[in-house]
Amino acid sequence: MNNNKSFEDAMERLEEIVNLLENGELSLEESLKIFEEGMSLVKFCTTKLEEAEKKVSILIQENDGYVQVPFKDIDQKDE
Amino acid sequence: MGSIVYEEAPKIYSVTELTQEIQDLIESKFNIVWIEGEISNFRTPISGHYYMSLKDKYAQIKAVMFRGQNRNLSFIPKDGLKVIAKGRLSVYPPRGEYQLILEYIEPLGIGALALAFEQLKRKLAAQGIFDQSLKKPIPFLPQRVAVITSPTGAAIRDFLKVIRRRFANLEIIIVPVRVQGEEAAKEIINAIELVNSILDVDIIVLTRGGGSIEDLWAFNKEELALAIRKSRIPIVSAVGHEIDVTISDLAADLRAPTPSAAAEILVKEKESLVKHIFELRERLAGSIRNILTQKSLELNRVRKSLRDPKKLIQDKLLRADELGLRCIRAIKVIMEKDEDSFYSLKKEFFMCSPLNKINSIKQKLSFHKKVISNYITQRLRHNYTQIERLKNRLEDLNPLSVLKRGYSITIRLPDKKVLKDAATVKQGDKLKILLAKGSLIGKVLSLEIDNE
Repeated sequence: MNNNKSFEDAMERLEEIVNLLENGELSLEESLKIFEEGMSLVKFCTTKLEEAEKKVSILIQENDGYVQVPFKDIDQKDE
Repeated sequence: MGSIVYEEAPKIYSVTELTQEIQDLIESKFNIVWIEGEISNFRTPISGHYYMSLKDKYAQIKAVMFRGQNRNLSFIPKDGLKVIAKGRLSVYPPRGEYQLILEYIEPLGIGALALAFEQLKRKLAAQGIFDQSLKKPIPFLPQRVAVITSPTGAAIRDFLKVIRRRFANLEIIIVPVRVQGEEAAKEIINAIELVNSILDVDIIVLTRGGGSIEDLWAFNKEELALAIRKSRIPIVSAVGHEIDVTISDLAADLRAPTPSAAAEILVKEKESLVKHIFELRERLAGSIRNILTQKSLELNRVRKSLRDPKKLIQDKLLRADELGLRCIRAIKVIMEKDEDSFYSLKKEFFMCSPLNKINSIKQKLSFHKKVISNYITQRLRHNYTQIERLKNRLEDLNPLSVLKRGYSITIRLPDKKVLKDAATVKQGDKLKILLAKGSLIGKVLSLEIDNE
């Protein structure tokens, strides 16, 4: 949840930066500074989105507990 | 061949008689009858009566339920609905037809489930189980998802197909359950509790492919609705096809019409975000490019207008020289041009001089001065003689001048009262007698009082 909060904050700031730059009312120095900030926010947000692990598993009861084992379905074999 | 052989004289019925006997027979035997069948050809004319046929595999009977009775039904019959109905059989002689006059219809099989569904839906709605205010928000960007479903069903295949097609990087944990049959509801409830207690996921997807109402029945259980409501983790319910709505769908935090739609919901946000970030990145790059282009244009403009300060000074000097020369030239021209008019103006100027006027005013002034001074001298002289005369007169009036003529003034001392009457003094009073020159001090020796 905290992660998402900072993601949302980053998105908000990124939007703000793009608008500021597009308004073109900043000095060159300021523009370059927030451009750099904007690009690092893009990187941050993209990384956040790609962060999750891409896998499918199935929960199976084993002895007294549960284990997750990789799941393969018919369609996947076709690929 | 073809002839009829009569062994006895047969009874010949009229149509009415026969119908009458049939009516008597049927109506007395089937005065109250319970019948099971499937409704077909159901229709409701303006009269509000229900007309239908009840049929099974081999036969059908016409039936009617009058308005007075059908008001008590909690559902509207429809074709294909299997029912148990109660009524009486009635013969209609004019048409030679018989039909059931129904008093009561109870859905059977699918019909009963549908009815039960309606009843449960109403009950749970009344308890507030479906209230929008209880719905937990679907997490922003879910990353770990538990899918409670049959691992061999169509639902999980459809779900995963969408996830793969969208290249969504989700971690998916399938929690296998049976999704139909007696045990299904219990297994699903257990799975929800299990996920809540042992799995760290952002969201639960409860899904099953399409099927008949019986097939989907596990998702129409009250206990399941309560378990969904109790779940700490938000639940998306996607049961059956788009048209199938289950109690599970209604109780869940979000209903997806199909398993594929549930997957779309999970990946859609992320997809649109990825797209949006890409757009922002483009705009960011575009605007910094614009700014740089614009600034370099500005720089060029400024650079052009910049010059060596030494040259600037030289320019100013040249300019000053030029202006000086132009001034002199201009003045010369003006002077030459105006020389003539200057002399004529000079003459005019002296003619107009105020000196003339001043001189004449001066003469007038000295004349007036003389007149005034003569007048004043005369006046003064006259005043002097008058003053002299008045002085002489005053002299005559002065008491001292009387004294000069030999009179004297007697005053009593010490009060210095001037004495006019001898009666105002006593013998021995001190007196002072004022003379023209000096005074005498004496004492009253005696009084001579005039008595008139």
